[in-house]
Amino acid sequence: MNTSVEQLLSQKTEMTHDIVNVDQPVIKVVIVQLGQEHFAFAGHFVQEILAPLTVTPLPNTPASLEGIINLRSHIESVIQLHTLLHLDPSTINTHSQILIAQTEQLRTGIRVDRVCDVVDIIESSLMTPPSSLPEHLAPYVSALFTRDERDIALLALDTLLADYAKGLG
Amino acid sequence: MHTHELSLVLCPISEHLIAIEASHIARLSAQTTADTLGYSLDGSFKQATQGVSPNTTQYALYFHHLPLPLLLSQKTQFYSCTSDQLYVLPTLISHRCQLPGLIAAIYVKEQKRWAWVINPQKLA
Repeated sequence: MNTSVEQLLSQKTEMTHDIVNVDQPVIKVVIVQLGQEHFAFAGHFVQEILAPLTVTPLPNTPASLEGIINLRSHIESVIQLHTLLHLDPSTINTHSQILIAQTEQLRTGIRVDRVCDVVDIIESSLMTPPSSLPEHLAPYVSALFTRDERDIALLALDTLLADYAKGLG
Repeated sequence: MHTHELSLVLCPISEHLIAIEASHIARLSAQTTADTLGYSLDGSFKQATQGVSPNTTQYALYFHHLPLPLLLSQKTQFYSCTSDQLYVLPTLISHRCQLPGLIAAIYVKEQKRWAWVINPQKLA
């Protein structure tokens, strides 16, 4: 059966309407892989996703503080959240990347094992974290959402970085 | 912003490079003995007072207004540079780096590496 251009255009318009008609509030999130787990950061905390850069280690720092990078003549720290989240340390490979995160009080690079996606999530689809969350994750998970049949924890980056600065992780 | 001249002393320690403003330094002595006590940034980079083995070449970097020297296993070198090579360290570094007296980073162009600037008055 031949389908006319008009029919195809009509179908496409309807499909577009299906997408655009969602006028519910959305939140942009950056979905990342840390260890074998998937997490998300709220997009407003993530300023940049960097191309691979050389990280210079500092003396007498915890393993979770990888070092510094020179980003356009500004020094940024690079940290790993793996210890704080009880995950295996990051293995730096071709997929690993550094995100520049900025909260009200702190700014730092964060090593992630992979940046999976940047997506808009409908706010009403965010679920309250269950009380059954592991104790070490509970303070840092602000919500859960489902993406590609996978439950993903939205991390409270401001709390994570504040605790990291206090010496945790 | 004006560019200022900086006079530093670079101290290689393990695989790192420490930089100290030359104005803090009184003298460098290679005449250390087993009785010489001083601050150590080696290994764990923890402040310590310890005797120096007479079998190894050790240097003692003496500062104005500090009773003890910084003990080093390698010679220091003077380094002149400009303030545009000086960088402010991010807040998280000051929270988590335990290098005593760390105040800034300086990029040593000639060696293509970073040096960590410390204020020796905070060693004590």
